[in-house]
Amino acid sequence: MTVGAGTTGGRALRWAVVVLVGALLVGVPAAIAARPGSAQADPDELRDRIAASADVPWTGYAEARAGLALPRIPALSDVTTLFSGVTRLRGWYAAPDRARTDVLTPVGERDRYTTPRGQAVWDYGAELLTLVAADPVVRLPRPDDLLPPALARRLLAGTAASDPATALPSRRVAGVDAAGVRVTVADPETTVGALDVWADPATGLPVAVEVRARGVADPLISTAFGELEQGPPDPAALEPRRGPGAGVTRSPTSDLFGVLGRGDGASLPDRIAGRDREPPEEDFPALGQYGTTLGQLVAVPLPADLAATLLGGIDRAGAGRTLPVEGQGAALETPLLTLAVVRSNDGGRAWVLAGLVPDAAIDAGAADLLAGGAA
Amino acid sequence: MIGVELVKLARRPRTWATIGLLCLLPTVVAVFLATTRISPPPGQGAAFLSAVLQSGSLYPAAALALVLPIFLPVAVAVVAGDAVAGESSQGTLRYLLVRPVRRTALLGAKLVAIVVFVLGAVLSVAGTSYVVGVSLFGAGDPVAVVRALPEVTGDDGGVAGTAPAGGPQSTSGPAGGQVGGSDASSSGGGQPDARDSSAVDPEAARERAQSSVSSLSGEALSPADLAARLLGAMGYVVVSMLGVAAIALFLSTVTTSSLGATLGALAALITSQVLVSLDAASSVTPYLPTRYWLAWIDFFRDPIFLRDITAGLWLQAGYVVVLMLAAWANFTTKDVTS
Repeated sequence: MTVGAGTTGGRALRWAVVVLVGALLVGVPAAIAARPGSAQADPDELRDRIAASADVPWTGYAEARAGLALPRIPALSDVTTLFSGVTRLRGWYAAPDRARTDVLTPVGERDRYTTPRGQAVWDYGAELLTLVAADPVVRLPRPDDLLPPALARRLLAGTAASDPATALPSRRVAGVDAAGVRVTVADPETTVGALDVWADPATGLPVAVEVRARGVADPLISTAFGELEQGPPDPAALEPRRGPGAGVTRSPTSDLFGVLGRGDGASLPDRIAGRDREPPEEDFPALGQYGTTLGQLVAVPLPADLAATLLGGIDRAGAGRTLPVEGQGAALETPLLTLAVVRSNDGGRAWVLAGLVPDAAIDAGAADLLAGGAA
Repeated sequence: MIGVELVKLARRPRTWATIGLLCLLPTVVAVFLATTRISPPPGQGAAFLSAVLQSGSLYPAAALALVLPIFLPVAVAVVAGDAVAGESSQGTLRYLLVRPVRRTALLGAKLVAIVVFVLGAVLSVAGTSYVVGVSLFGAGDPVAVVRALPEVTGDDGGVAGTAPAGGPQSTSGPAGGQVGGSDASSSGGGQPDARDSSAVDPEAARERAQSSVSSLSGEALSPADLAARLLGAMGYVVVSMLGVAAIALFLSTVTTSSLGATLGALAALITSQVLVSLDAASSVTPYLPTRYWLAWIDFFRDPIFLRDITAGLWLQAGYVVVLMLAAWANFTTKDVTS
């Protein structure tokens, strides 16, 4: 039994409608998203404007993708997971000392508030608000560093003025017709090959960043806004909150380097791997910063038990490289970031050594630490 | 025609068995949680499972998280897959079509019946889990949340009047609120401690309830706020199921086997789930039906995060439009022989 006009022609026509509607629904949003931008800006000028964009307020959502594929190491899992996968971030930014960043997870979130009096970290899973007095300037990477404005400004600050800036094709990012600039890093002492930044040419606010390593075709870290509104954020969103029944704790610092850096810095030499030590920050005498460019090395003395944990963790992960030094040394290497743990043969002294540097700099730095600390 | 389909749905024992099973899972989980008081470690397991130990009024959200990934889509696929193919295999479809009934209208009625089923299932899960959660875990004041519902939905008939029978407050933590960068540890947040006041005063009861539930961002949620967010999440979960329903309904017009249609829809879902978690497939993930399923939790962030919720609504609408069109294209010209 056939009901309706069941001709072959009618049937084909109906299916044509289906295919057409389907194609439109898939194609139109894709075409809108892929429509090229038309923004243009002088690359050097744009670079300066980006560097000076710290006072541009915004509210938005960004996704950062990192492909460093670090194994999960106990005690460093915050860093290793940050650089291996997608991080979803919501941000409110009024000024450098008035900001909030939420790291969204499928079952909760972790929010960091920056206030003029210090920082506050709300962890929904742990039901804990931690009030942080201060974090060092030199510290382990954390999620809010992956917001496009923060990443662009931090990394561009480490480039040399002589590093050439070239224009990139413009891109539409979160409704912004953004002009692009590529800064090619000339310094052979760093693994960073180039920084690609797209920014609003009017305000200089970076909206997308791609970090490229030397000799790797695809960007290893890419971050971009998915939603962005420029202008002062809602002040209510910037007030730290503590959930009902949740605990509050105080901490001098929320960063592992900060915790370790409060110790005794006597075992840090003045110079490692050809880089001079910068004057230590107040409150963090044991935080060794060597150099100020992208090729800088950071060395921090480790307590014996933590050194053993980290060396064991790297060993178990099976991804470490043993350093050719007089003593024990293991490095977690990626094309971009290297993190090494060095320990003297007697186990009495140990350091963690990190940087966006090639193997040779890590090896030399580890050898200098072992030699210098002994003197 | 819609009425006929709804009556058919309600007369089926299977409908009620499915809804009963859906409600059973959160209940079983709640019993285990309440007897052992062992919650999943922070950041792991289903959403809200640790928070419910503090206040049972969040348990509907935890229950949604439990049934959403597998149970609910399976139930929807079973009902939708059976919609046309079931009639076909039982031989009732041709009698149905002998009546002066347009096939397009029949498809529409089937879809409406499925939506009503999903709505009923989600409401039942939320309702039973609210009762189970509050009775097993206690709540700041369950009555306050229930009384707040009319405020949210606009019907203010239930707000005025009788004294609430305030339940015992299970949480003992001090009231939450804004915390300054430097003066937080000094006091309990400055909100009046309502624990000692009589449960007769609705205002006090409301404040007490307010001090027991927080959003993911740490903001204390008033009962009205919590009820609104729960309703939003439930609505979003219902819409999220429309894509599955449309896939199963389309397949149901293709085959005469309801099992085939159900399994086909489930296969599509599993494929989608696998691809969503695959970084290499990121170019197609925005188009996958399960991509934004978990976005309902964004209703519990502060401020509410609408980006993924909006995307999810559009995505489900797209699936419904395309697949219902496909079902129409296939069904209106199909030879119905059984």
